[in-house]
Amino acid sequence: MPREILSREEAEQSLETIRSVLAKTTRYTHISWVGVTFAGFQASVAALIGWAVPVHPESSPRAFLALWSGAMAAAFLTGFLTTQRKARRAREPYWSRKLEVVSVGLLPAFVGACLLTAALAVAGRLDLAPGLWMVFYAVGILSLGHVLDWEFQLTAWSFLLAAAAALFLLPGSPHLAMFCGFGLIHFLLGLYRCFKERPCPLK
Amino acid sequence: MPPQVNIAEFQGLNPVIHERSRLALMTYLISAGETSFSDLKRDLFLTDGNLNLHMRVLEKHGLVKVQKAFVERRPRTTYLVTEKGIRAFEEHVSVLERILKSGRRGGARRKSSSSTSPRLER
Repeated sequence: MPREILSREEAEQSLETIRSVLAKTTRYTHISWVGVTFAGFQASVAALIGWAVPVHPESSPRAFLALWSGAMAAAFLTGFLTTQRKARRAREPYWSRKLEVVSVGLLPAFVGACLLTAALAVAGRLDLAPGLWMVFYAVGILSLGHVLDWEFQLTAWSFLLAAAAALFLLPGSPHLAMFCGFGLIHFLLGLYRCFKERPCPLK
Repeated sequence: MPPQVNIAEFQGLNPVIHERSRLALMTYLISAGETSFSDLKRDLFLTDGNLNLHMRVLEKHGLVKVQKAFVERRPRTTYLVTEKGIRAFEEHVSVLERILKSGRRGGARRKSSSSTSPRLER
């Protein structure tokens, strides 16, 4: 016998289905663990070069900026290529509405970081740059909290902690601060994403 | 016994969309826009057969549009919700909301009047 009435519980369940699917569709999942790990590796190599040469922000500000701009550009390029590869494997277009949301969301933080870096360079205070880069990076990620998985939010808070350490505990060691922030935290995030994205080898 | 609503409200629900998997598919397509078969399958945990079946029903009723293309020499099927689909979905959601609202009103009334009838506003 067909049912003639719909219970309130069923209506609630239907709306819950809609809510959970909406939450899923806004998630951006194409960030590859390879790209994140490689960003950590590049930051570590740049920190090692900066420490070994040495490239100090006060005595050689141009070399300091060139070193870290190069590391950032390399990390960006790797991120672009690995994300594109992941999208291609899933037979999806690289550029999507979600990627647009991510890019537009990160843009203000990126522009803000560039402006402040220029101001710090003019004022001769590039020693503060690592901590402030981490703050901007964290704020950019946090602004995308609704489209990224929870581990990215944790990463952002870790970057804020690393920024506090860079500004107040390690003011004379910019490369160590950069290694702890952009190197180590990216490594940890990449490791977690690796386990999350790849099937468990023990199964 | 849970509070229930009258038949007129139930008749406002679209039976094609009301099925749980199709409701999820419509929600996904309206929110994400054009979406590939693999994306829908992965995110909504549907099998190939299930997804094909539900998409065929939605397509038959003119709620979604199928687009087939080749990307780097590989076949790629994407789905897009139609104008009719958007209208049907909006109507369906508003009926669900009405059901919930009338359920709440009924719950409050029953408390105050100590009525035993589970039915509301006929």
